[in-house]
Amino acid sequence: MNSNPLDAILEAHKISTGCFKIAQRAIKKQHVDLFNDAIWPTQPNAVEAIVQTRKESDDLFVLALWATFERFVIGYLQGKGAILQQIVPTDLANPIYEQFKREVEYWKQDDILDLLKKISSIDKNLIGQARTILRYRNWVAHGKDVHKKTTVNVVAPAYTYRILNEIVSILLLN
Amino acid sequence: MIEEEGEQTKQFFLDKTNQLFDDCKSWLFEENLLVEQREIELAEELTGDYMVPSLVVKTAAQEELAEINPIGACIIEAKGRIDVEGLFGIEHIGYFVNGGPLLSADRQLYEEIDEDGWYWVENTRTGGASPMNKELLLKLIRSVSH
Repeated sequence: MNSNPLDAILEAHKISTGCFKIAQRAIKKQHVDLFNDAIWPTQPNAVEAIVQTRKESDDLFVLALWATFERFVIGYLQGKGAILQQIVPTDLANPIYEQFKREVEYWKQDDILDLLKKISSIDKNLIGQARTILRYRNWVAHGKDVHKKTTVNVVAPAYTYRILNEIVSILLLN
Repeated sequence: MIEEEGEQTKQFFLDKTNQLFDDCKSWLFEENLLVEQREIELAEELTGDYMVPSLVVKTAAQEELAEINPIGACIIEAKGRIDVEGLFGIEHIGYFVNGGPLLSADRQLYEEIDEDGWYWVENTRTGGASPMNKELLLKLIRSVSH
């Protein structure tokens, strides 16, 4: 039985954001007893370095949310394809299913979104928004080329979660 | 055609940013906070490079509390984004039109958006959107600076 895998990622984002804040306060107050052997928290730009790290971390959480969504959808499609095992002649059933299971792993994400759009309970607005998140995910995953700077979210991880979670929730009902 | 779209997108964002910044400056002035206006450069694929105003908020004793920085006009779910950024956090403000992003033809992601404008959006699982006003701006500055 599939379950929603995105909650754990967003919870991890919430906790990491909180950890950054705690670390920034510790640095600001120079609680050197907490730094152990680390030297960088004593550097003058240590707090600013965490600010930058937090931005990088937000992007990585968008990546993690998309990767988790992608894994969920592939598993969902593989589950739906299991009906191929019931075709006749039976000696063709298993090889066909095994081939489908292998190949679906390589389907393009854009094509998968097109496929999900066929489900009547998934609104095309939702797929459109997932597609823009995919473009952002690709931009991050391919090294954030500054010459191809793409659109960003207002609230990157939370918005990404809410859009993808909406799709996952619908799939879990179908 | 694309150049024209980029110019319109940029101009819309600059107009809305300047309107919000005018409000911010008078709200902060009422609280005896100092505001310094700078210019920063943004680069987006659609709009190209351009300069935008940015605000630095300080106490009367010149202690820096936060920066209010435009992030871009080309935003996935909005028509612009501005961040309130301090040493201890960052909060995001978006300019939403037509009810903001839709989950379906008749369902908004943020039910609170009832007119076009700048809204703070909480970066959480169930976070809503709140229209920008003086109290909210002060709350965001407090949140990122303490």
